[in-house]
Amino acid sequence: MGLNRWGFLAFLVGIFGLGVLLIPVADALPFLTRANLVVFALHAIAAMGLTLVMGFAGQVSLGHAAFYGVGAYATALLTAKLEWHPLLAMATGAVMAAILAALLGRVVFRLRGHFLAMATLAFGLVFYVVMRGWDSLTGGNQGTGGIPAFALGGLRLDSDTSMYLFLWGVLMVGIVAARNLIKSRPGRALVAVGASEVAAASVGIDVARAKMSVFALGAIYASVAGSLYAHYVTYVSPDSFGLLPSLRFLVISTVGGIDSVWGAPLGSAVVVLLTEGTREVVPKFVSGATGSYEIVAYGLALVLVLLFLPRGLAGGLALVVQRANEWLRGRERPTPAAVLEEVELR
Amino acid sequence: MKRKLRFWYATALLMASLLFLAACAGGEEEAPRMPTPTAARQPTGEPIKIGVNIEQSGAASVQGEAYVRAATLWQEKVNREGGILGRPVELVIVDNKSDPTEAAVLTRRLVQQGVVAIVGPGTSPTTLAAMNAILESKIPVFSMGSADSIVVPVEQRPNVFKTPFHASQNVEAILVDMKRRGIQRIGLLTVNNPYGESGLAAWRAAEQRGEVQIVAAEKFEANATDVTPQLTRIMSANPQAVVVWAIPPGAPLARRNAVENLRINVPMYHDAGAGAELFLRLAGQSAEGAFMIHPKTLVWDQIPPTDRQYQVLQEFGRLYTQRYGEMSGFASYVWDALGLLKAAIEKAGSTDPQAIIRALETMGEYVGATGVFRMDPRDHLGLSASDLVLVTIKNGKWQLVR
Amino acid sequence: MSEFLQFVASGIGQGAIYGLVGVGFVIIYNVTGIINFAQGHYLMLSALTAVSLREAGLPAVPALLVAIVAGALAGVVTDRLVINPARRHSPLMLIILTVGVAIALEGLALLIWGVNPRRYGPFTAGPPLEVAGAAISRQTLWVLGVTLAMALALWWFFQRTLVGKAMQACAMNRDAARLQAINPAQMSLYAFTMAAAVAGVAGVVLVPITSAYYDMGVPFGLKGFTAAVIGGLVSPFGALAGGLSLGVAEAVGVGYVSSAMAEGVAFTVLALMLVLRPEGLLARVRMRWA
Repeated sequence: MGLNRWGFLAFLVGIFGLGVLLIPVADALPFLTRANLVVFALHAIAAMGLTLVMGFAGQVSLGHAAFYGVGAYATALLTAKLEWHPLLAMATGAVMAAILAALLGRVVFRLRGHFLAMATLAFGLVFYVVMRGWDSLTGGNQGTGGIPAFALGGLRLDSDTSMYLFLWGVLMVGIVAARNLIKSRPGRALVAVGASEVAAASVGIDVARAKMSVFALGAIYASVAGSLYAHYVTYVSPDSFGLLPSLRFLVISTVGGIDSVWGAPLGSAVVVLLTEGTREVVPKFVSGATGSYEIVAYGLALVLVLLFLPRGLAGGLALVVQRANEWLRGRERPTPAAVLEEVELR
Repeated sequence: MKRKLRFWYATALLMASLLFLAACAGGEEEAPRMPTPTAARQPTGEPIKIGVNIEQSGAASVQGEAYVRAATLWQEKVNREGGILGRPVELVIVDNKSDPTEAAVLTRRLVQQGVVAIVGPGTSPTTLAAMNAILESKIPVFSMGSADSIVVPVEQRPNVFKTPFHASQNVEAILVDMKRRGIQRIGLLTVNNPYGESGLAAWRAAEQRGEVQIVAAEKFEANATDVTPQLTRIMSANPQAVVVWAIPPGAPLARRNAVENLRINVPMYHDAGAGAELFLRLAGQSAEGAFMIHPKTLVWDQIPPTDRQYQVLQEFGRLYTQRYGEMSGFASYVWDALGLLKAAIEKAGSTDPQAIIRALETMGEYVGATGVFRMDPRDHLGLSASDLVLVTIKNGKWQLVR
Repeated sequence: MSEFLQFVASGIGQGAIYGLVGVGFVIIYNVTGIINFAQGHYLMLSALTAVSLREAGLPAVPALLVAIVAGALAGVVTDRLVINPARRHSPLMLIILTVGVAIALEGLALLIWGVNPRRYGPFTAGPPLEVAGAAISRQTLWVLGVTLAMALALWWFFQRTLVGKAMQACAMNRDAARLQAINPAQMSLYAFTMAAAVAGVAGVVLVPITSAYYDMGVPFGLKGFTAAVIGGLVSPFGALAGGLSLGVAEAVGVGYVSSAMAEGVAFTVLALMLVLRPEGLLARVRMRWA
């Protein structure tokens, strides 16, 4: 379904309004603060890169946090030590992440099966070890700090609210870029690759090249989010970019749903709600309950969501919308893809 | 098929409830109720909220557990004894999962919930990641991180305090004993994490000052199962003593490998992080004869009544061991942080953040379990290396050396 | 020379553990196509259960056996409650489901056992054995002995029993196996049970060497996975060999390169293996399952 210019504008205003609306929601909920919104948006941007890799190239990455780390460390070192402009540092990080991803992809996409998963796992771990071991550059385990707040002209992002609104803007750009990509010629090629590599190759799509570019694009999303993370926290240490953060991005993407651009924001919102919600609710039921109950609840919730909503929340939502439509209009919607667009429009 | 699935779910539910019961039973066993005290005055009015932002799970959870125990114990004691300024104290304890980002977010959340001060985060990376939020909050925050940079330079850290000794002070205290024994050449084994890193940096600084010669420096991973290769390397450099800078399970593992596999016969020193009761339990027989530099808390029952900390140590030691069975090497840091806050609020007569910070900086001496704090506007730790003691293990018990 | 021998001796002891964890990865991956992220967590569950039972005063042998069964039960539960109901999901989704299982198991362990590491003494007390100047602790010998016994048992199972052969068939071609009236769901259950049991064995022999704690699952899982990949992810024996070589490489790396990057050794090996020889080091030997 095509969108005319007005429709597109309405769409943009719609998402922007949604983002602003989340602020009073966070204020109203006792267990959320605006800082949670910042984390939500950061993770959503990074995870959206992973959603592209998984949904549109059918590949899984277990080292996504390394690209997040490339951006964060690039920003940390370039802005704090060399006093580069934040934008320039962010761009440098993104280019480095893209190059790393392309190199990794070049080597790995020759292989079949789960090898990308394994290779990205290894890549992520090596990155983690190097960030810990290369003291003179990265500050080693102690990390590196003194990163200035993000500033662009007169705009200085030094409060949670301004940071969040800016991040939401970045997220919007990310969503629009991803949507346009899917509808473009290379994007359709990617969807074909995701559906069936053999079929895609048979109609003349360079599968390896397509996968490599989507992998690099995913790395750029993560790297930009990482740069902004560094500006927000003003300090980076290797623990934020190890295996567990990689798994967290994986969880966000899959819980949200990997075949919709809305998957990552949805998944990120759910993970924030789950983490903070269990922190708030569980102690009310079990007195003296500490972190452990939250972790069990988090793990179980993850398993249950994936068991019953294999296409993630976005997929589940699309199904609900489809059913509602059928019921209301008394006719069948043609394809799930059309339904997805329907969701995006609303 | 459906029925089969239901069977498995039922089985799982049964197992889960069994485990849950086991967990509950275990919990009760662990925490015998205190004898009901004769309440001094019942605290009344609006509770004073203090945030406690701790690593209850994740990489630093071994310390985190002791911190939370100390905090819970302290809250009960204070409310039993009339609260602060006659008002009850409410601790808001949250788990930052040893995650730097969560530590930062939780700091902001605690501030929003209206706490007057925060104790934690408990490690350097979590504290430094939360630093921005801490500085913006302008309320007094006590960290239990080991890095000096948490409170230095003090102009940039106006509202940040800490209670554990600097790594450099631990080094200073060990060096005093080494000089006495004529030890010059040492081998250094540090855990490859922020904790070990701060120790390594402090030793390197001491070497630069010419106080010691490091003939071998090796690292090991926090989850290593065998550090014999590292120790072999160290011993081949022929040091007069070996220093291990790590927390459990790394520290006791290093001791065991050294004693059991390599029969190392030079003195081995551990720092205060090596973990008290856990060190004894995990190193077993091999713990005998190991040296550890530590606050007096480990040997609280051997401190003579003439000691200035005698009263405080007796009270803290008795309360903690009665409740939890054994002393922890970490617990006193949180105990003292909360104690300092209480004293400051009482001195200031209000819970205004600036007033509390001023009171902390002008309090003069505060006798805590960790040591005697002398905080001032230039020093937000206020401990000196002479508050540390050297202890060793004899017949499975901690023994004061000097 | 004795220094080198010491590194090798240390490395073999650790490597055997990596190998035993790796065996589970191989069995599950071949039979079901899933990389099971909870593999190291079975080791953790068995290790902690064993500690609890020993502390409760149970004699060594029954305590360890019960602990291994507990680990195996966790494997059964994983398969029946999570993998089997989701068997129509994509393999990708199944892998992420095991991540969820791993998180839940770790939380459960934290809930039951708390954060503090625990330990029991070696199976047989006594000073370490001296071999050409290198010290080998008695527990390391136990680890090696048990690993050897496990290798023999696995060989017997896959070579001599019907179930073992059925599992091999499943690994070779799942659809063809189904045509032979082999039930893949059942094979998946067996695979998870066996993988968890083998990891459990590793767990209970490991405790005296180091200690048991709730978050040991991830590091051991990773090392085990690396071991399996070095072995080409096709044969349990490849995984054992991969584990041994990984352990030795790590220890020698500590000895002669840099102890700060020791962990990097393992993961660099993993990355290089995947890039250069994704079929594994031992593929040339045309390893069959036995």
